[in-house]
Amino acid sequence: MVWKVTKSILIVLALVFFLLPIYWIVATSFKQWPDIFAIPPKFTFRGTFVHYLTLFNIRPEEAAKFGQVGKSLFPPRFLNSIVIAGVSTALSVALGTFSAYAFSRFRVRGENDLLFFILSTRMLPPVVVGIPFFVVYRALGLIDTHIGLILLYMTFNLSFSVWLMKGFIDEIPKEFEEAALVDGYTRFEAFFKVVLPQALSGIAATAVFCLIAAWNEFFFALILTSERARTAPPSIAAIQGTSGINWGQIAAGVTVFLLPVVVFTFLVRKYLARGLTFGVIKR
Amino acid sequence: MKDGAKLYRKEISEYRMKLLFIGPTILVLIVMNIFPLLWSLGLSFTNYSSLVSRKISFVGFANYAKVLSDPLIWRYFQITARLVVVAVGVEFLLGFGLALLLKERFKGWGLVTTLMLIPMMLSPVVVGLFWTFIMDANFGLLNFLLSLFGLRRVLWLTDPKIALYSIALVDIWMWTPFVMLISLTGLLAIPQSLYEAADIDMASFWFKFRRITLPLVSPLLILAVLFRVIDAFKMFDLVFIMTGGGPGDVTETISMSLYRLAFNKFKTGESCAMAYIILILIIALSNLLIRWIQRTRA
Amino acid sequence: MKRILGLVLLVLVCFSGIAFAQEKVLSILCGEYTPGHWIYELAQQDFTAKTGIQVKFDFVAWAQYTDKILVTLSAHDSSYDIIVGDSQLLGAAVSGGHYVELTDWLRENIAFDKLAPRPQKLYGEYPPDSGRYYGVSAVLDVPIIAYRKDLFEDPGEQAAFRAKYGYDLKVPETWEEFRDIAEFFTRPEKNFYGLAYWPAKTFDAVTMGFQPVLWSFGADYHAPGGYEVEGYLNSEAGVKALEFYVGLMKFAPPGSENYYWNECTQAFSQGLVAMAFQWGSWAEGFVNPATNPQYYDKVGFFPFPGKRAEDGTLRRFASHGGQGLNVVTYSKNIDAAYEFIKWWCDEETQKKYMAMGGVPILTDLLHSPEFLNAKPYNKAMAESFQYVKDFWTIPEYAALLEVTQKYWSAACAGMMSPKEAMDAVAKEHTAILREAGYLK
Repeated sequence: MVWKVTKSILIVLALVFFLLPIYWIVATSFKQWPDIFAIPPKFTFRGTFVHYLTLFNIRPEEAAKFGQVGKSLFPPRFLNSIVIAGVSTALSVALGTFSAYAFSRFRVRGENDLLFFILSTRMLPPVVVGIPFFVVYRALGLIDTHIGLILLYMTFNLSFSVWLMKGFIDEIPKEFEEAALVDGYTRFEAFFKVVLPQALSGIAATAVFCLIAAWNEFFFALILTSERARTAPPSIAAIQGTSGINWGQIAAGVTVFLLPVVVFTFLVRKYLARGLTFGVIKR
Repeated sequence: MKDGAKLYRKEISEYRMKLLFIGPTILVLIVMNIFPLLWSLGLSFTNYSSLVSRKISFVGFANYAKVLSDPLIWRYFQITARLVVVAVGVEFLLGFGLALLLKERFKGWGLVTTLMLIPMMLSPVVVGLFWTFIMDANFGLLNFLLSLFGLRRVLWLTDPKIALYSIALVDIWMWTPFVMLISLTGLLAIPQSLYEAADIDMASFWFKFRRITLPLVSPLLILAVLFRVIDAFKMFDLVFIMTGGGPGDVTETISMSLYRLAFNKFKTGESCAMAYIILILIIALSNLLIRWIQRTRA
Repeated sequence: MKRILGLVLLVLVCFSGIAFAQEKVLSILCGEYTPGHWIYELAQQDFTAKTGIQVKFDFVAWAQYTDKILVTLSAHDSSYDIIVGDSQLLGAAVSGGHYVELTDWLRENIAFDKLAPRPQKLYGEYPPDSGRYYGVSAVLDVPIIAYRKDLFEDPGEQAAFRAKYGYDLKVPETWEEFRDIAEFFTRPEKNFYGLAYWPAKTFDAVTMGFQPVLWSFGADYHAPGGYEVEGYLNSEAGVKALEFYVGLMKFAPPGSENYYWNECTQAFSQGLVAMAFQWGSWAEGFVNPATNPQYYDKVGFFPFPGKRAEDGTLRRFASHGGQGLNVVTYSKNIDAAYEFIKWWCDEETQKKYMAMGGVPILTDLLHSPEFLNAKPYNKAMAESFQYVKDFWTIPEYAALLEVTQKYWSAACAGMMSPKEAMDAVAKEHTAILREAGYLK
C-alpha cells in the first residue's frame, strides 16, 4: 500500500517535470503580449486566440501590428512538413523492414560490418556535410524540392530503422515462416503474409521515432530549400517581428506543430510498448 | 530429382531476395553518403576555406596536427564529456527508474506514457528557445517556482558553475523519455514465468532485480545509451541557443567549436579534419558500448 | 516491384516538373528583422509596379543567417540574386569571388555622389579604401541606448539625483554620467535596475557593447595603422575601460550576463530597467505599442556616451552594424538585380522607405528634418553615425571576435579580472595575427 502511494506520487512528480514546460509553451500561445513576461509569471490570464489567427492568416492585421509583413508562411510549410516527414518516414520504415528481415533471416556475408556501416552513417557531425550535400543536390536539381528532402530524411533515418526493425524481427519465431514454406508459400508470400503482420507493432514504433526525427529536422531544411519545399521548423524559429522574438506566435506554431506527432503516437501507443526491442549485433 | 530442382530454385530466390531486400538500403546509404563523406575527407587534407578560397592546395596531415595540438580542443572535449556523462547518466537512471514505475499497467496508463513522451517530440531549437525563457533569472518560470519554496534565485545560464548543468538539465528533460520508452519495452518483454519461479524460491526483491530484471534489460538499456551518447556528443542546438558557449567558454562543447571553425572562421579544411577526429572518437566509443552489449547478452 | 518503381519515377517527374515551370522572379536573401520587412513591403508595392518584376524575400533567423549564406555561396548557387549581406561577410565573400563588382556600374547608373559616403564605404567597399565597390548600403545600423523618459523627467527623481550627485539628471554625455544614472536607478528592493546591456557570449554581443567604451577610454585593438596588439589593447586605458564595462554589471538585473538585443527589449518592456542598449534596427520594438504596451510612449533614445580626453574634447564612438545589398555572381537574373539596386538608390524610393521608418542611404535625406522626426530613435541614430568605428576588417575577424567574446564575457561573468581578460585577448590576437602573416 505504501509502495503504491509512493509510486503514484513519483509518477505524478515525473509528469509535472515533463509537462510543466509543455504547459508553459501552450499557455504562452494563448497569452497576450504583456502577460508573457509578467513578473511573477502568470498562471491565470485572459486568453486570446490571436496568435493562432495570425499564424493561419485569418487576422493578418494583427501580425502587422507586431511588425510582420506579408502572409504567414506557416500553413504551406506545415503542409510541406506533413508530406516530407510522412513520405520519408514511410520509405525509411519500408526499406528498414526489408533489410532487417534479410539480416535477421539469411546469412549475409559481412553482416556485422554492414550493420556497423549502417549505424556509422549517423555519426558524422552534420555541420561539415552541409556544403557537400548542397553541391550534390544542385547537380541533381534537387535543391528546394520535396523529393530532395524526402530522400535526405529517409537516409538519415535508415540506420535507426534497420537496427530497430532487426530487433523486432529477431523476436518473431522462425517456425511460423517455416510452417508457411512447408505449406507451399514462397519466401515472398511468407514474408508478406506471415512476418509483416507479426511485425506491425515494431513498424509502428519505428515509425514514431523516424517521424519525430524527420519532423523536427532543422539545419538541412533551411539550407537545402529556399521556398517551395521548406518545412515548418526553420520558419517557426524565424517568427520575430519588431521585438526580437514573437513568443506568442512561436508558441502557437510549436503547439500546432506538436499536435500531429502527439496524435500519431497516441494512436500507436499500444504497439509502442508491446514489442519495442532493439536488434543487437551478435558476433 | 524433383526435390533437387525445388531446392535449386529456392536457393536462387533466396539470393535474389537478399539482394532485393538489403540492396536498396545499402545503395541509398552509399549513394547519399559517399560524396559528402569523401568530399569532407578529401578537404580535410587541404587548406580549403569555403566562401574565401578560389584555389585549393594539399597540406597533408597539417590540419589534423593542428587540431590535435590545440590545447583548447582538449578542453572542449572535456566539457563535452562532462556534459555527456552527466546528461546521459541521469537520463539512464531516471529513464530506467520511470520504466520500473510504469511496468505494471494501471488506469490511464496509455495516456500517461504518451504524455511523458512529448518532450522528445519537440525540435531542439524550440526546446532551447523556450528553456532559455523558462530559465531567465528575472521573469523565468523556474526561479518563480523556487521562490514559492522560499529558495534563492538561481542564475541558471549565467553562473559559470551552473550553466553547463542547466544545459544538461534540458537535455535530460528532453531525452529521458527516450530511455524510458526503450527500457519499458525491455521490461515488458521479460517473461513473467521467470519471476514466478523466483517467487517459489522466496527470492528477495533485490535478488530478482539483480538476477532477472537487470541482465535481461541491460542489452537494451546500453543500446539506448549508445544512441544517446552518439547524439549528445554532437549536441549543438541547445548550447548554441541557450548560452552560445558562454559565459567565457564554460559551455563550449566540441560541436560548438566545430561550428565556429566551419561557419564563422571559414576554415573548411580544418573543420573537416576535426569532424573526422570526432567521428573516430564516436566510432571507438560505440564499439566499446556494442562490445559491452554483446558481453551482457552472452 | 516494377509498378512501384514506375510510381516513384512518376512522382519524381512531377516534382521536378514544378522546378522547371518557375517564373522569373527576383529572389532576395535577408535576415529576419523589421528594416528587412520594410524593404520587402516597399518592393512589393513600388518596385513590382514600376518594373513588372516580381520580388520574393527569404527571411532567415539571425542565428542561422551565416549558415545559409555560407552554404549558398560556397556551392556557387543561383537560388538568390541579391543577398542583404552583413558587412562582416563582405571581405570573405569578395575574396571568394561571390559578389559582383559594382564600381563602374554604380558610377554610370546611379547618382553615386548622393549616397552617404561613410556607410557606402562600410557596406560596399573592399578592400577598405580601395575605391572598389561590391555592394550598396541597405540597412544602416548602429547601437543606441533607450531610456525611460518618464523617469528622467520626473521632478522627484530629478531632485533626488541632484541631491546625490550634484548635477542635473539628463541624457548623459559621458560614461561617468551614464554610470551615475545607472547606479541611481538601481533599486533591487523594487526589482528595478539601472540598465540592460550586452555582456553576453552569444553572437557578437559583448564586443559590440564594449568596444565603444574601449575606444572612448583611449585604447584600441591595435597600434595606429599597424597590427601590433600588445600594449595597445591591454594598455592601462584598455584595462580601465573593461573595468568600467564590467562594473556596470552591478546596475544590471541579476542573471543578465546573457543579454543581447532580444533580452534587452524584453527587460525594458517589462519595466525592469531604466536604460537599455539596442541596435537601431531593433529599436522599433520599444516604440511599438504592440510589443511595448506599457512604455511605448515613454521611451527616449540617446547615442552611446563618450569620455573626455585630457584636452577636454569628448571622445565618442559607436559600433558598426547593418547590411548592404550584394549582387550574387551566380545569379541568373543579374539585370533584374541591377534594376532593383537602381530602384533602391532612387531618391523617391528612399523617401518612401524613410516614411515607413527606415534609415535612408542618401546624404541629403539622412540630414533632413523629415528623417530626424520620422521615428523617435532617428536623432540618436543620425548622431551615432558620426561616431561609427569598425572592428577588425581583415578576413580573420571571426577568429579575433571569438577571442574577444570568450574573454570579455568571462570578465563580465566575474570569471577573471579585467586585466587578465585584456592580457589574454592581446596574447591570442597577437598569435592569430602572427599566424596569418600580419605580424612578424
